[in-house]
Amino acid sequence: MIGRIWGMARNDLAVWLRSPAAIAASLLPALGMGVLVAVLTNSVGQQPVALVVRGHGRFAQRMARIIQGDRDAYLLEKMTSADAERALGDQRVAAIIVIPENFDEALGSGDAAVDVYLNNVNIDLADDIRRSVTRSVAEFDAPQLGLLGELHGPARGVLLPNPYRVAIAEHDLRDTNVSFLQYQVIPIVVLIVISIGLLGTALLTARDFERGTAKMLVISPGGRLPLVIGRLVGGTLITFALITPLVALGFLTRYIPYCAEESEAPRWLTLVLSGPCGWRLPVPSWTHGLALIGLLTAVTLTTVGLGTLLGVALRDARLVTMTALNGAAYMFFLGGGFTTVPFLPDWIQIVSRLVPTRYAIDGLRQALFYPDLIGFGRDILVLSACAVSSVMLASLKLTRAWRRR
Amino acid sequence: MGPHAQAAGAPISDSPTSEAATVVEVAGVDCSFGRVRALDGLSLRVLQGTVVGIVGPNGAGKTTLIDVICGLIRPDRGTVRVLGQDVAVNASAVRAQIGVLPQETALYDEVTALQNLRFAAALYGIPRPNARITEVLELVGLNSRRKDVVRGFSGGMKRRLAIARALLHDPQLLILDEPTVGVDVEARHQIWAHVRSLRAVGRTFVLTTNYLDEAEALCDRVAILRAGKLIAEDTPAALEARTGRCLELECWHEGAARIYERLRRHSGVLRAEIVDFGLRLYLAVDVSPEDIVHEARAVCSIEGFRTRSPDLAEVFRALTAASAPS
Ligand SMILES: Nc1ncnc2c1ncn2[C@@H]1O[C@H](COP(=O)(O)OP(=O)(O)O)[C@@H](O)[C@H]1O
Ligand SMILES: [Mg+2]
Repeated sequence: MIGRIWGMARNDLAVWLRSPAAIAASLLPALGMGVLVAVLTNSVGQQPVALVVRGHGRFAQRMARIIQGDRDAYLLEKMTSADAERALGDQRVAAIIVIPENFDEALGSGDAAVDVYLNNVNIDLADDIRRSVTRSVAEFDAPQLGLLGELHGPARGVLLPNPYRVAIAEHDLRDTNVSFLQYQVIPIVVLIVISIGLLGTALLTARDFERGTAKMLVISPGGRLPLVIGRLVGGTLITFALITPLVALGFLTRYIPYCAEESEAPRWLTLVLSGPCGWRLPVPSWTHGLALIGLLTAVTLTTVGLGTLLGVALRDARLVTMTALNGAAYMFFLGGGFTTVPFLPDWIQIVSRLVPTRYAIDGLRQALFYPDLIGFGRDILVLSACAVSSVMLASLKLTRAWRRR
Repeated sequence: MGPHAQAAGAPISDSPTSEAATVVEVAGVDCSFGRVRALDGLSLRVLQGTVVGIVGPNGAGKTTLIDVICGLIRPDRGTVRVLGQDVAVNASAVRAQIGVLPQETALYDEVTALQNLRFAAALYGIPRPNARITEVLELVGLNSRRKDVVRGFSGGMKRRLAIARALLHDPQLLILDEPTVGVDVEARHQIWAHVRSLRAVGRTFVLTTNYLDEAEALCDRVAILRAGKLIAEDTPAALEARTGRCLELECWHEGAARIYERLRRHSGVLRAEIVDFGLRLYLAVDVSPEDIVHEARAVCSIEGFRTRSPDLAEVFRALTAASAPS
């Protein structure tokens, strides 16, 4: 039983590693997407920001009006503080701007402040928000000097000694040390996993029908179940065989940063995560390392299952290639491959809830960039459910398809 | 029972009615794909140590018959027993005793000959397969190419590699589906030589073919299939005898046409056809060629005549024409 499973998986891996055209087909779209992302990095779109107006005074209202009037940099939404906090936690907004309750009184004594809570690891997005708030505050203080405010850099949880009467108190909830490019490498990694899992497994399955090897498999004694399991293991192996060196390269070049903090995991975990080059890298935290492995495994199993279903349904290498690559691209976009999902139009947000890629990208970003794993539980739960159902369905369909030639 | 059969410890059930054991017994099998009747009430028996050829035009049901024997397709009616075991009940045990060369050859082109055989060894649960792999590669003359990728092999080499794979688990019964389609003459003779040498050590073969000379050269018995029905099953010699002796008359064309009209309905003439040198007649065994020549001479003058036994191609044409579906 084990021998047959392993035999099947090993054969799949050998066949795949000798199919350079198929490997190229599964990597090229992702690499092209990577280039596109790098080029588009500077043209970041608007982002949602929550405005909480707690002060009821005249000046507080005026400040709110000015901030609301600035529609260039962000999509502003007025919220209660509770809603705003929840939205920030869910990554639905990138920042909260708070006009405090005592705004009017404080203004009288010259130490009024607008609080900005940034929950964004992306340095470019954060800078946009800083600039815009500074501009709004400058406009409040001295409307004619509004543009000058843009020259001022960010503050870090302190009141800036500025010439204006209102200060900006920034509260960074994250280290904003991740560049947009690094932020966007994650979806590319997910896209590669999806492409290989989907295309590779689908091709192996379709080719078995095309060249008659499916019949050879069934003719062998010992039943189909070990072979079906072997195919799924094989699909997982081919994905890991390509993704491991790529992720390792990402770590080495620092395009994929670890959020290495506090608790340190043993060195073997680093080695597992990034291959033999791991000794040169900072050690990730236990939980984050395991989260990363678990997530990649769940995504791989999901796409391997889907790939098997595709191969069984189409049974034609060319059709399978086109469908798998298109499918991977759609999953990439709908899962928020190009930006954070909450920044996209409503209807895409609704659609993206049904696309497992979304949870993969969110979860991976969480595991790599953030010191906590808030929201990761949901991601890994959804992905595990996807993995289990897609693997079960694939086993069922493949067993049926192999019954007759 | 051959030496190899004992060595492999095959569960062969000895039938008291025949000297050799029955390896395959197909009884009253019907098999349909939608409206297509691929096999229609087919019965066939294959004795141990024989080579049985299944001959028939494309679509006759040859591959379907093989799939039924391997338990790949469950027939709508009838039973199939291989080495005494019911295929429907003990598919796994039966498959362990069958080696198959499928029509499509079914090799993994991307990897080496060795990797293909290692995979097959894993599928058949052969422990420590390296020695056995070398053995079968030597047998088909491919051991020097073991590390080469199969994509670079010729059609004949691929077919021989697939035969090596079929032999790997030392099966009692070998099933070859059109083993020489698309290979050159030399490879064809090599494959024939493999079949003959394996038969000599007691292996049983079921092979399908489109080529009648192949059936004549290799097979102990030939089963002729047409539209899913078995229309004849016998030794090549007996089949030839059944078609009757072939009488060729040399005459000019007009005379041939007149003789044809005269003898067409003669009870001793199974079939007649006009050919470029005159007329060819297939005669029933109880008819004397001299009588026919005498009758023909009454119609027109005959320049010469000769009799010979027909080859399988002629038998096949005669039989399939006679049993054409209405
Ligand atoms: N899987 C299938 N589905 C539908 N029809 C089939 C299938 N396999 C075979 N047939 C039909 O059954 C008949 C016999 O086919 P086959 O056994 O492949 O013939 P042969 O091998 O003698 O050329 C053909 O008419 C073929 O079209
Ligand atoms: Mg066929």
